[in-house]
Formats: sequence, structure tokens, C-alpha cells
Amino acid sequence: MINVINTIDTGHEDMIHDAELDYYGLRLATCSSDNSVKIYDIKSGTQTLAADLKGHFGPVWQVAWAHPKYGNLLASCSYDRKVIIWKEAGEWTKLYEYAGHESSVNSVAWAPAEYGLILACCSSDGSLSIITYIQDSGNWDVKKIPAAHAIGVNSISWCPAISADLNLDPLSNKDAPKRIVTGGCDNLIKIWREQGDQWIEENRLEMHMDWVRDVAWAPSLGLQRSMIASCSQDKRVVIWTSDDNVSWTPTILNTFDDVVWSLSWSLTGNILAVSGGDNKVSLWKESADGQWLCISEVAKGLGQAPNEERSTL
Amino acid sequence: MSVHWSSEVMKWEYRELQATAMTVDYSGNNVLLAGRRWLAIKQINLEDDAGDIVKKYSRQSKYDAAGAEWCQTYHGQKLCAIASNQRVDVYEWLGGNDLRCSASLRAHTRVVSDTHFHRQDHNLIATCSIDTFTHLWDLRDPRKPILSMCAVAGASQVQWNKVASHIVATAHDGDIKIWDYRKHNAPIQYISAHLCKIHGVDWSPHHEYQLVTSSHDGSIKYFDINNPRRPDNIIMTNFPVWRAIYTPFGSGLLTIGVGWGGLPRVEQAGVIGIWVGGTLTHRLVGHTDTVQTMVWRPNTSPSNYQLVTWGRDQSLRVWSMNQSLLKMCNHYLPDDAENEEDNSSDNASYASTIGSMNDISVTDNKGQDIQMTKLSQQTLTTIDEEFESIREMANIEVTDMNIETRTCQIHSERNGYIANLQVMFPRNVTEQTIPKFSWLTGTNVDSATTIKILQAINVTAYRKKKEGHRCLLHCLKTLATSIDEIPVKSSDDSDSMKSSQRSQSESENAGDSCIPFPRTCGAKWCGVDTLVVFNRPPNTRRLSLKHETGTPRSMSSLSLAPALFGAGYSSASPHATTTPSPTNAAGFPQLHLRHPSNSITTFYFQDRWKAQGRRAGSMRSRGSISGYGSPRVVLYAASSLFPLHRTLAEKYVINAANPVDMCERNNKIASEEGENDLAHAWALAALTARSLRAKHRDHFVSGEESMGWTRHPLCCVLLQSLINHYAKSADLQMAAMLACAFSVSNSSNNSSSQSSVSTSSYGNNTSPYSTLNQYSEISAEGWTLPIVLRSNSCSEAENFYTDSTISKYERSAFVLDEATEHLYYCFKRIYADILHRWQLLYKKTEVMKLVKCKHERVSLGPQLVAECGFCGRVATGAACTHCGRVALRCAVCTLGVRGLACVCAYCGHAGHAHHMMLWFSQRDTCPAGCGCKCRIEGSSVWKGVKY
Repeated sequence: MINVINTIDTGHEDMIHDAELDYYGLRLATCSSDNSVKIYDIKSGTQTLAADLKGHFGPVWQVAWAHPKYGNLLASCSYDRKVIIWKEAGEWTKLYEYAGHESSVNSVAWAPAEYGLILACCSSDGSLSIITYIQDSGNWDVKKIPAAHAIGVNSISWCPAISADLNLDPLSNKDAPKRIVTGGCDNLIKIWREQGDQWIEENRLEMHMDWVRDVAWAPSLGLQRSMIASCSQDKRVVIWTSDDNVSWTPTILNTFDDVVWSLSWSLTGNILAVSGGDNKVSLWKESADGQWLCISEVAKGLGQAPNEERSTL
Repeated sequence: MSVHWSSEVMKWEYRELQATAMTVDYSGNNVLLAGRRWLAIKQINLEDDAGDIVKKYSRQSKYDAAGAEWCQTYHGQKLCAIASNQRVDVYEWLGGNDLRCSASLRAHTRVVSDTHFHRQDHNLIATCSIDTFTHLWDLRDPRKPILSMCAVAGASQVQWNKVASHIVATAHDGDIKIWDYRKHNAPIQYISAHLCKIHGVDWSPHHEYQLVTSSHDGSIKYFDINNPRRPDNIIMTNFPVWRAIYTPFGSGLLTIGVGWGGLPRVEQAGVIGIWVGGTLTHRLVGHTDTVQTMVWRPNTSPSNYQLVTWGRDQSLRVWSMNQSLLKMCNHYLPDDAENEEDNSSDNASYASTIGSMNDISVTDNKGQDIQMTKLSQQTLTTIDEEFESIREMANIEVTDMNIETRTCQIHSERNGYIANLQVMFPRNVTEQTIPKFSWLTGTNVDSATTIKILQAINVTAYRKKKEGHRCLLHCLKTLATSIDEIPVKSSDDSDSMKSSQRSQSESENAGDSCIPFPRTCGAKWCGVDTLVVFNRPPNTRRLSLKHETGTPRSMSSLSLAPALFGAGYSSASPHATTTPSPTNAAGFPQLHLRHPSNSITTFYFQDRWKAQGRRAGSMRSRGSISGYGSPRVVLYAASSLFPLHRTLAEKYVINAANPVDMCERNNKIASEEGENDLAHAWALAALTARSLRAKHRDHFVSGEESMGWTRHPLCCVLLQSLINHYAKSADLQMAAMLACAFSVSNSSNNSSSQSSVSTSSYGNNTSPYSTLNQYSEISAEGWTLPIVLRSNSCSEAENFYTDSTISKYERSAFVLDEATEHLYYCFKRIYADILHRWQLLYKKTEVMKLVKCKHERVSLGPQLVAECGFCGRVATGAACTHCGRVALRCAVCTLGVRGLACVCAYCGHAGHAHHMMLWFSQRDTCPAGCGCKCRIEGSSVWKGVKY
């Protein structure tokens, strides 16, 4: 059903915290507690180290590729309170460094390409930063949302630009309202909307009983319904659905054996990958009658399933 | 190793009372025991230790007394509060005989968990309950609380600050909230202290801003409320801690465990632990079951501290803290020098200590009331004198002085250290009573030093009192010299540097408790259907923290790990020796010393750690993980999970001008690929297309009739439900392709050919070929370039960035409303994105051609316009608006260009994309013969643009 196409020995000297393929699926970026970010070319089942980026002075938590229309850009965030945007121009160099946070930066996310080159990041100092590339001046403009969550913000995710809103130009979607969802240590999920040049808190979702570790806004299917998945230290994954982006209905997807760390939606928005502290990965799909079903045997943890190896490699 | 012996002085058992709560009154002589059926008052000062209950009052209640508390102020010494179920009863003990219920506080809606009288105003009492509210009552009007503080979680403890009278702390599950009751709608501080329920909170008697929490997770944490993110100190025990209270002397801490919930050893029950400096140094043994309440006996004579406890074994015990215990807690007695020989034979001198203690309490008791009135006048003058004496002191500033409350506050700033001290003169002053000193917020001297300074001050105070002098002036002198003696941290740095460094290292530490625990396992969907998975090697084993059930939530847990390993770990810590890189920023020296990454490795590789600990090696952390092989990332192809087929996408024909043909050909393609369901759907679509075309050919019908036909169940409704079905099952490929097949209306045949000419708006996308092999500059929408306009003999130019507005805004033949059409555009866009990721650029462009733009295009980027080859006018569209012919001519074949064109930005010559590709695969120069080296020049034009 699911088969291994490539196994990459990263050569990192410490634990990996994130890995992401670029838009075309041809390069892999990884980041680790050894303070480095590595980029591999992974054409046709082989791997070549394309770059070993050293610029952070602490464990690097997350990496994110920008849309290729802006060139080959990679953003990384670290315990050293910095966000670095790397750019390939012949070789990889540091394009921009943002040091506006007072604590570990836990997550970075590029805005949908339609909005322009915009990066959102969140930090344990409780604030969010929206970093926008200004085409005319070639500068980066930073907008900070202070005190977004008490204690700290753990995760950030953008609302997709393609929406069912009739008044929007389907080609550019430029004017679609920009929305961000964040999850924090105050056990809350907050939805932010850009209004004028301000970001306002549009909604707060209460359900989790411990720190929210990850939030993920599902890619739009063009349907009216928006979906957000959230996971928490309380071992639960919750799916939030809304028809108008205003009122949200929670459904508990599952309660896991250990804390849940990360979530990822597939491109067509119908399969959710969940992983957590128990070192396991499970895939979930919504059935026609609205029930969430686990479609990979691994998650059930029932003995040695045929593709058990994929989670315990 | 802790020593333990029984040092209880008195013990009584009252099994018949079934008491669940105990409290000691202001005088320290009367103990109230509260149970379901009885309230009993016992005097503990009498020498005739008959074990008699002085008074027993019947209390018929369905509920146990959840808590009992005696007001600890002089004026309110007759008041006591008993919490039971949802209400709190306030009793007045009249004349030592009658216990009368004076008020009943009812506002809580769930069980009241704790009560606490204000430390100075006997009319104020705070009560908290698991209904999440903490109410503050004025007993003069007990009908409703004067104010309420609301939290999200139920409150289990409420405690007034021992120094600052307006601050109160409440415990809610694992969190602490600090309130200023004058500003009660929001807590002034929020401490996320423990992972489990907090059982006990106690404010430091010496510091305004310090408290200690004890929790079910087995840890005891010291917090500075100015720095709520990280505890000052953590003590890990192996049992759930019920209470942890400060010793009123020195720097010790007393703990009792929770009796239920699986104590590791039965003998732990009923043991009172004394901790000094984070280690269990002494245990008080005597109770045979869990201790429920322990309080310090109020108003005992100086240096004669006593503890009163009530246990589940229904026994009441009084413990004296003998001198060796006081010394152990770093409390130096005023008469240390004189009692040298006593100290040397501590254990032998028990009897004498107990004897003398009893004597003192007897005199205390008998003469107290008289003493108070007698002394009040005299002490007032003493205080006046004391306050007067300190008015003129260098380096010491008196910020507040209040004769009423008998307090004054002192501020001193020397060598960058700030000391804020509160001095409080107790009311019942005897010869030996010294003022009480405690630290206020703003002090930046570390806690260990503050305790030392307090000792020095106390010693001075005792000595001066003994000599019969005023002590305050000398105490402050001691304070000043003590601060001077603190070593200045780095003498060569300027003050500002020092403070910034300090704050940096502080926030470094502070961060960890709010930084989420690092992920070591994850899965991410990338591209169309690839799952990227990384996780820990299978043979890793998580470090088992005894108090944790799951993975910890914050990185501060990593710092606990060394504590569990014991001292061996710190010497072996490899990152202390990690060589800083030459590019090391100056501001991050700590990061290399306190590198959390070894902790995360340690966390999962503890076995390896221990084994390798003996073979010391400086780069061991590097070695330890490579021993398991470097971490791997695995990519999985999950294409079978998705109804998207790359092969179909490549083969599918997109020909919106002829839906019948398109559907039939795609039907064939799908069945060749073995996708029979899809083939069937295409066959249905072909039928619909045929009937639509037939309709238009046969009748040039009016709008209404056409609408009638579109509602026919086998026509448009069928199509729409097909598309909806595929969209719902996430088959966007099929949904978008069907939408594509029917996106052009047949009724306007002449315009359909025109619309198919229009090209994508994505002209400025960097092509994947360049992103693969070369680098590309950043580009962003909204860039502006001069219009490249060039005329020449061939008159070829290209509408590189055509606007895709079609002259007539037309609606697809079968779509009924705008919303549905918009939805279909969305499908197409998403499918186009998928095609882009698959690098099927031509297919992508063909799909994007069928997405129409509703509004006039605002300048979206560089615009290339063509000069018409026939009439010479500038044409912005694909066709010349003036003469109606195709504006672009191919430089290779000289025919008009419909569809994709390719243009050199330098010389402006254009051509069919495939012709140009073929041409330039063999040559460098322009096909038009202008001599331009298009491959080089053309791309350099774009490169010159600043991003």
C-alpha cells in the first residue's frame, strides 16, 4: 500500500526535529539538534548532500520551503531565537536573519504563494511575527503580534488562499482574507485575521486540556468547509470544522497513548498524518459518513504489522 | 543519608472525635479539632498532661470538615473558620467556653477546598473552591463575598502572602495564580508549575516574592513570582507531596507525603521530612499513618520553634525543633557561643530542652493578656525610637514607615545589588523578641545570599536586644556591610553590560520551561503524495522519569535528567567541552555550555550514557548517537492512497472546444489504464456533451428553453453530481477534468476559439527546469519591468503575459449559478497546482487557461505586448484588436502563434514554444537573424532586475 521510495542517511550528529521536501519533491531539507540544516538532492532514489547550512547556535526546530516562484528559499527556526531565510544563488547563503524574538522560535510557515513572500513564525516568548518581503524596496517588513499566547506559542499554520468566496478573483486570490491559526501553551487555539495592517484575534478555540503542540489548517478542496487539526500534550487530536470560518465545531479524532507532536495534511486535504512521543506515525481519513478512521495499521499498535518497520526504522 | 528520630514532645490520641481538620489559635495554646460530629478544643500548654479535651461541642453534619483555621491576628484571635462542603462557618470562641457560630459564608457552588484569614485584618477571609472561584469575604457583612477571583480550573489552595498583605496565591491543578486583591479581575502572575495537581502552596516567611509548591508529581518547586517561567529550585522526591512548608527559621523545608495513591514504602506514611538545600536531611518519625495537617505553633518564644501535627492515626503531636535541627537548617542561634557545650551533646540534652520549653509556654500563657496591655505603651515608644534612629543613614533609604502596622520598608542599592527589606515589629514584644525581617520584590540578590544576610541581621538583633539596646540601626548596618561583601560578578564590565548579561542568562534558563519538548519523530506530507517520516532509532529507550507517565511537555524536563543520574553526569557532560565555532556570536556563550541537545540525546540514550560514562571522552555525545547510525529520513510513496494518477494526467486530453471529443478520448485513455470507474464516468460525460451539442445545433433556442434542458436529470444535473462526487472523495483530478471539459459554452462558437488562445497568468513562474538545475532570483508578484516593445520586419513579439480575460464574460453551458462555477475554478486551480508539482507544465497551463478572471486585471507584473504583424498596432491580447488577426508570428515558421509562445526579452523575437525550444537546443542566436544571443542576453535582462 505504502512503499519506501528512499531512505536518506542524513549524517546529522544528533536527533532530527523536522524534514521537508521542496515543492517538486526533489530536495529534502532536514534540521537537527546538532545546530545544522542539511539539504539533499534526492533524484531517482539516490541522495547527494547539496548543502550543510550552519548559522544557528542552537538546535534547529523546523524548516520550510517557499514556493518556487520566489526562487529556492528555505526558512529555518531555532532554539537560539533566530529565524534564518536561506537562499540558493549558486550556493546556499543566508539571505535574511530575523532575531526579533526573546525566546526559542518554535515554528515557521510560509504564507500561500498568492499573498506574496510572507513568513510567519512563533516563539516561546508568546509572540508571533509576520515577515513580509517588500518587492519595491527589497526589504523585509516585520509585524509583530505580542502576547499572542500566555507562556508561549508552539505552532503556526496559514489558511489556504483558494477559497470558496465568490467575490474573489479565482486566478490570483490576492484579496482573500489572510488568516493564521496558532496553538500555544495556554491550551488554546487562536485564529488571527489581517484587518487593514493589523492582525486581530478572530476566534479562540478551547478544547485541549494541556499545551497545544501543533495546528494544521487543511488545504482547501475548494469546498465551503474549512478544517483545522490540532494536537496536544493531552494526547488528543481534534478536528475543527467550520462553514464560515467563524463558528468552529470540534470532533475528537482519537486519544493516543502518548503526547501528540505533529500533524500534516495531504495536498488534497483528506489524509492526516499524526505522530507523537510514542515514535509512531498513523494516517487518518474521514469516511463518507464523517467518521475518522485510521488507515494505517501502525497506529493501532497491534503487533508487527507488515509495514511496522516504517515507523520504527 | 538522613537521620531520623522521634523528637515529639507531647502526644494525645482522640479516636472518638474522627477529626479531619486541626488548627492552632493565635496564642498557640488551643488546638481545634474538627470532625463530622464533634468540634473539640484542646489546650496543649498544661503540664498535667491528662489528655483531656477541654471542650467538646457537638456538630451534627453530613459532611466532614474539609478545613479548619484559626485567625492568626491578635484582634481576631477568637475567630475560627470551618469549611464543610459548600459553605464555611465562622465560629467565635467566647470566653474560653462557648463556641458560637457567628457567620455562615455561602456562595460557593461546589466543595470548599481551603480557607485563609487575612494576615492582618481579622475581618477578611479568603475561601476557595473547586467551583473555580476564590471569594474574599468581609465578616462584618457575611451575606455575600466582597470580591471574587475567577479562574478556569478549580482552586485547591489559597494562601495570603506572609510579607505583602495584599497578595494572595491560589493553586489550580498544576498552576499557580498570584492575585493582588485590589486588582482582582486578572491574576498578576501565572505560574505553570507542575504537571500534576498542586497539593500545597506556602509563601516564604523571609521573601515577599518567593513561594514553594508541592505536587502529586512528587516534586517540590521553589518559585520567584517575578520569574514565573522557571522554578528557582526543584526537589524531586519519590512520593506525591501533600504539603511542603518553609521553616520559620533558616532555610529548611518540611514535607509530608500523600497517604494514598501507592506510597512506595509503607513506613513513609506519617514521616515528616526536613529538607535542607535540596536533600532530605532529617525525618521526624512518630505518626503511624499519613499526617493531615501540620502547622507551626504560633507565638512560641524565640528559638523555640514547635510543630503541631494531626495525623490520620487520630493523634495530635507537638514536636520541638531542637538546636541541632535549627543548626542543620542554617539557623544560628543567638547564643551559640554560650551554648557551645550544649550543642556538643545534642541528643543528651533533650529532656532539658523540653523542660525549659514547657516553662516558657506556661509563663507565656498565663501572663499574656496582661502583658499585652502593659507592654503596648512601652513598645510604641520603642518603635518610635527605633524608627527615629534610622532616619539618617548613608546608602539606606526608608521607603515606607507605618507605626500602625508596626512595619517599615528599607531600600538599599550598592554595587549594582538592590536590597528591599521589610521590618516588622511583633506585637507581643518580650525582652528577647527581635523584629521580623523579610525581603521584598525588587531584590536582586540570590536566595542563598539573602538567607545568609538574614542570619547575620538576626544575630546582630539578638545580640543588641540582649544587651538591651535598640537593634534596628545595627541591623541595617549589618545589612549594608553584608551587601558590600557580596562579590561583584565581573568587575571589568560596566553595569549595563552586567545587567544585560544577567538578563540574558536568566531568560536562557527561563525559556526552557516554556519551550516545548523537542520533537524526535514526525511525518509530513510533501509534494503530491510523498510522506516524509523521521523518528528515533528503534533501540532508543526513553529515560523514565518516575513522576511522569507520558513524554514531558517542556524542555525543562531535560534539565531534570542530570539530577536523576546523580553527580556522575555533570562531570561527564560533553557539551561543556564542545569547541565553540569561530563564528560563535558573542551573546551566546551559555548555549554551548547548556546545550539542550545532549540532554535530548541523553534522554533517549541513557543506557549508552551510563556505559560510556566510564570511558571519558570529550566528544562523546557525537559518538553516542553515531553509535546508532546517523538519524535517517524515510520517504514513502503513498500514491495508492490518493485517487490521483500521474500517468492519466500526462495522457488526458484537454480540449474544451470540443467536449464530446475530449470525453471520448479520455474515456479510452482511462480504460487503457485500467481505471474502469473513471472510464465509465467519462462515457457518461460524453453522452451529456453529445446531448448538449445536439441541443445547440438543432435549435437556436431562447434562454428559457435552454435552461429547461440543462435541468434535465441526464444532462447537467448528472454532470454536476459527478463532479461533486469526485470532489467529495478528494479526486480533484477527475473533478477538475470534468469541469474543464464543460467550461466553454458551445453557444458562442466563434468566441471559444479565441478564449482557448489566451494563456496562463502564471507566465512569471520560474519554470521547474531552472529551479532544478540553476538558481533563480527571488521574484515576487508585483515586480515591474519596462515594457519590452520592439518592432521589426517580421513584426513578431509575444504576449508573454497575456491577460486571460475573455472579451465576453460567458458562463459555461451547463453551470447554473455563479457559486458553482467559482467552485469549479477552485478545483481547476488545485489540479493545476498538482500538475505543477508533477512538472506537467503544459497540462497545467491548459487547465489554467480555463480559469477565468472575473475582474479587470490590475497590473500583475511585467507585460509584454505584441506589435501586430499586419497593421502595426500594439496588441495586448493574443489577437490584434484592430485587424482581428493573430498578433504574434513565429520567428521560426512565420505562422501566427496560437497557444504557448516563447520570447526573448532582449531582442523581442518570439515564436511557438516548441519551435523555439528546438531552435535553441542547437543554436545560440536568434532565429529572426537579428544576431542577438538570446540564450545569454535574454536571461540577463531578467537577472538585472533587482529581485
